[in-house]
Amino acid sequence: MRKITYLLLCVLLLGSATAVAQAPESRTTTTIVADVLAQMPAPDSELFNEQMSALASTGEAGVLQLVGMMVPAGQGSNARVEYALSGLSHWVSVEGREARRLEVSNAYIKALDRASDREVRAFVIRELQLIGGDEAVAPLTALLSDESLGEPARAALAAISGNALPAPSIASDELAPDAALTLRLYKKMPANPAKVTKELLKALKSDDRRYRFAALDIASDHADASMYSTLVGSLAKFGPEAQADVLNWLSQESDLPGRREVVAPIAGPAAAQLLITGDADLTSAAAGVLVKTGGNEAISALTALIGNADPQTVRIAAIALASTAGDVASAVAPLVATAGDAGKIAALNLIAGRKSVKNSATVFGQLSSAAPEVQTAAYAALKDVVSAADVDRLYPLLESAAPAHQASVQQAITATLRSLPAADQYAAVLSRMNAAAPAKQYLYYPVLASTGDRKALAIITERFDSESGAAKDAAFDALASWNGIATADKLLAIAKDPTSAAYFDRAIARYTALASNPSLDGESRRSRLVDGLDVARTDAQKRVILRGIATTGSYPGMIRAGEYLDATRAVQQAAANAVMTIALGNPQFTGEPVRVLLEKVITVIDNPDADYQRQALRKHLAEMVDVEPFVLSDEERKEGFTVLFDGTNMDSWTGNLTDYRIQSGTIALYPSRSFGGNLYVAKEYGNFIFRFEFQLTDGANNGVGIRTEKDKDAAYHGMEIQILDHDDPAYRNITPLQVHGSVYGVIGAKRAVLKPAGEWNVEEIVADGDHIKVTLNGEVILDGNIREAARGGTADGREHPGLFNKRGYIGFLGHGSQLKFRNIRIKELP
Amino acid sequence: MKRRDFLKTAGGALALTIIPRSVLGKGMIAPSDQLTKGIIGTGGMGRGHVRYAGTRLVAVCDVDTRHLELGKKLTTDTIAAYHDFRDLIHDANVDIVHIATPPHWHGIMSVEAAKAGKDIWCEKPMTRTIGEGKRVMEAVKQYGSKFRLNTWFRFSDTFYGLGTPVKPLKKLVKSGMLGWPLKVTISKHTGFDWKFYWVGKEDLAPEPVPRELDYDMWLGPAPWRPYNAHRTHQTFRGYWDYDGGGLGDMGQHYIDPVQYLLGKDNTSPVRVEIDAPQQHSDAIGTWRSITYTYDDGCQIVLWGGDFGDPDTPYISGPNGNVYQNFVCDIPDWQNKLAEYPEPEEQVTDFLESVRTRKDFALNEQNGFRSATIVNMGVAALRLGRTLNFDPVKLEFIGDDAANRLIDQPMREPWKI
Repeated sequence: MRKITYLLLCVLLLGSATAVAQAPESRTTTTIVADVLAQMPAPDSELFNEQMSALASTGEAGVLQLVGMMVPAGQGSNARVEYALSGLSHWVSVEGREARRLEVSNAYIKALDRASDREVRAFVIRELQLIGGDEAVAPLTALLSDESLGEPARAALAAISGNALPAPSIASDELAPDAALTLRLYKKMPANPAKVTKELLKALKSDDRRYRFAALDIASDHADASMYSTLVGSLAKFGPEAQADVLNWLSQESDLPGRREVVAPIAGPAAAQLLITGDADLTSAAAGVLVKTGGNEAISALTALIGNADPQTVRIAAIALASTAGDVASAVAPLVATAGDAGKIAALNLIAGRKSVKNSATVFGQLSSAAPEVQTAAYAALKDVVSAADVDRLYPLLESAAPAHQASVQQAITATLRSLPAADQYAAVLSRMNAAAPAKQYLYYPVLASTGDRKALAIITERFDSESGAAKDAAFDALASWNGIATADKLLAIAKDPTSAAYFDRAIARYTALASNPSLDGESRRSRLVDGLDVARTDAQKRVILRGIATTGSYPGMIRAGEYLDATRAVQQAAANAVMTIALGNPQFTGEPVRVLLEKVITVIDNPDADYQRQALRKHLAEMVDVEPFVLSDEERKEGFTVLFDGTNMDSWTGNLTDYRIQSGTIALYPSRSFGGNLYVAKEYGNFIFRFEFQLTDGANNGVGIRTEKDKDAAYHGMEIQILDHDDPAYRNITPLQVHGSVYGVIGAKRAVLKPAGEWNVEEIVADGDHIKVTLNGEVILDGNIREAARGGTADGREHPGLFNKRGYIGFLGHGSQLKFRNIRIKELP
Repeated sequence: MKRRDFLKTAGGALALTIIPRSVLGKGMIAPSDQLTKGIIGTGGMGRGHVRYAGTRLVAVCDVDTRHLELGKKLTTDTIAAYHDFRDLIHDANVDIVHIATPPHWHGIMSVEAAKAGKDIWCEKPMTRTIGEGKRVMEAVKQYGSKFRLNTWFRFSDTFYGLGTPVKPLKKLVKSGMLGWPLKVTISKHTGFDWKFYWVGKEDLAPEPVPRELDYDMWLGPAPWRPYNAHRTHQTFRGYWDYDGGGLGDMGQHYIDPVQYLLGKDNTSPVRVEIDAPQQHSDAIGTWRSITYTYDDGCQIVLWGGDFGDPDTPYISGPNGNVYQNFVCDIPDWQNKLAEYPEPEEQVTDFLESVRTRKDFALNEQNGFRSATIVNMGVAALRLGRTLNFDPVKLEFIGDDAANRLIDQPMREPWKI
């Protein structure tokens, strides 16, 4: 980029002995515009600000030039010009850049006159919509009557005047009747809080709930402590529906910032009074207020409801208590003895929910309840309330409990084990198990499994193999509940073993879950999942396994999933997704098998996003290069060429290996910061033949440094052989000295036609003493002698201290553009 | 008497019990108790979201005759089919207006539905500008309508990569065990994909408008531009005029539950920072990160694509972190959490909301706030710079251009 600037400047000053200033502001508008366009869209804000600051310095001229470059829609690309102009609009619209904004806005106004295409002019008007000020009003107003531009002009004027969405003026008769009513109400209210309160009280007497609710909503903006108090004081005058409305509204009010402290003391006592009226909606509304109020008063009021005979009332209270802070468990525990079954169950759940160990006696007390639901709730609560002190009660309970409650007791014992050191848990359970009658020992298996001790696993595995009936079932459940990959092999063996067919489905499901654990690396998951796939029977099983394989990023996993692309629909779709996910996530997977699989996926994939997925797959395929390492032709090998880059590694290279990286067999430059930096061949060279291929993007700019010093400007401390998409409109005004292939600043190349973006150009650079020759796509575009060219001073009038370096580095010189290189080789000359 | 008034005077909840559910089978509601709805926009979204329990479809509307024909087949009943949404909104048989159009229509249609005395079920994002969202919020309030924004993760369903519904997360956050302020990271690594295929194309060539499509009505309030198929139907999300790309599509799904988690339903962040390539003036591109900061220091960080640290927690606080699949690094956190109260109950049935007029869990107020986060991000992305926001005045501070994105003019004759 910089070099174009200098070169242009030098051309302008050719023949003059004046020293050339290097400051960017001395660039011409044309140069700046070209440079900016080459960087569009800016990859980050740093480069954006740099470019836009430069563009803004061109003032009106830059804007006019850019708008002048725009073509009618469909007749070419305006994209980069649009990026540049809208970027400029954004940049000048930052506070503190008023002078720049005015300049650009005035330039847009002028450009509007000059442009003729409707879409180009509409584009300019939309920019004015964003940044225009008073200066734009008259010119836009003049366009209002224009048939096609009147509308955008009107929109821009509306934005400029700050009146983009004018306030609606709606006559009530345009509205549905009840909407008209509420609107009238809305218009009546905003006067002052006292008046609002008065209107609100009136509205709340309405039979129309919608109307009442609208009144409350509208009043919210004006509500204060006095309004809340008045309303609460008037509650007795309303029917239960309106009372519930008011309470629900007070709940919502207390969620507004800073209002809870105001609302709670006023609403709480009123809500407590309305809690039991027999109206469920009202109870629910009152309970809602008490949840917001909180505190012991709320807890005791709600707790009283737990003793209520009506299950619906109990339910409302239980939900409210669950959401109330404080010692709810101790509040409800005394009610367990006296409440109805619904109340007992609710209280037990609340005690369990708070894991209230101090109320464990209440829970134990209900284990013998005559009501089965209460008993179940008590057993279920055990695990949350037991402590180490309960161990001696729990083991006997395990052996005596009805089968339906055994799992609850097992969980309770497991919970008590937490208080023991991990190493002691296994021994504690084992001693209890060994003390039990053989026929009861299976009840201990899940508890044993919960210790996570490998010795426990050995026992359970052995028991599964040797036992039958309920004991075998229990051993299986214990295996399946084992936390970790250690049981995976056993589960797979069970799935494969015809004698344990009854466990097949559960074994394969648990095995798949364990094998999919993301804490295992991709290949480990793949190898286990594939083993599972071998034995899976149902579509559902295969689908789950294929979903797991999709996350492995594994090449063999992708190939295996590909075998299911002709399976039944459900399996096929999971397979297609797996192949796609792995392939897209791993661009290094290339070659014919991948291509074939992806083509197949494109034909079978079927889901709401399939169009996008197909697009992504086609793009991936188009960009996919099957990387066969580049090898020299027989001829080149005989001649003594050496490969510098064969598509597989960067071993021969040094410098910026972050921005220049391997992609599908190429060195791809994706500039991150500033210009992307330089990439050098690690070794130094003097005389040589350097052959390579390169692919441009639109407007790309790079260069090959030869005989250069590292990290210095190669154009002066060595030589730079220009790489430039010189036919891009951005470089419309460059001189013959800047075209592709030139020895920068010293010898101009013949203007060649480069291959369009995306196609490969073949280039050879010969540097033999003072003789430099460049051949592009078979055509010699430069053949000259640098000593002769520099005689009497170089063409650019600059010092080139490195021009006659004997040796130096060869490198690619980043200038902010994306491009690619491949098949790079060199032959040293004597 | 309007249908809803009938339901109301018939005793609302009482009327529901006349025919017991057991007689009708699980999940069934007697036809006479069903509220009626009309869908505007019977493209993919409108057709996909047709079957939620308790309503009966009575009308459809679309500006594309192909979509309208498909819409008519959504039910075996004979239903009304409209070209102009205003006709559907004013259809006396419709109780609930379901808006499933592209977002540039959401604001106008919501306000018009409220004015017509209808309740509203609106697909996300709520609106494509902050200004339109504010208007919807005001209109719903002024006309006493009920509004449901259609994303649901704050009250049901497994929340993407968290592997859990939001409720237990809310309990953990509300307990204060993680400390304060919190940082929430929404990225591929925490289980959220920003769908970057919703990008637009620059340099669209003009194409003839298909005979089936009323393009002028499809555009409605949006600026007129030459037709190209990529602007409409399945790909409109890639253009600023109609939506906000992957951020517009998934933003409310991902961010609304975070507003709820952080207890920010009545406010907005005060700053939004952006790291993205420069954006085109028409076609939406991708971004690397968007960072929102609230006045108390809480942050929401969005990472696009594969960006962001793979080891970042979903929620990180001074005293603990929550990772994907609800893994928390506070020792024994489940037991410690038990002493804290459950999050408060939310109204999760829109029909209950319509019948009792209690606010739905995700309504015009908190829906507006989460849409505002999306639209703050869109503004910062378009302009490519950090923006400061006043959550009370609902305007950007010291940035005239950003404020022109808050209230965007509409093409005549449309207004909100």
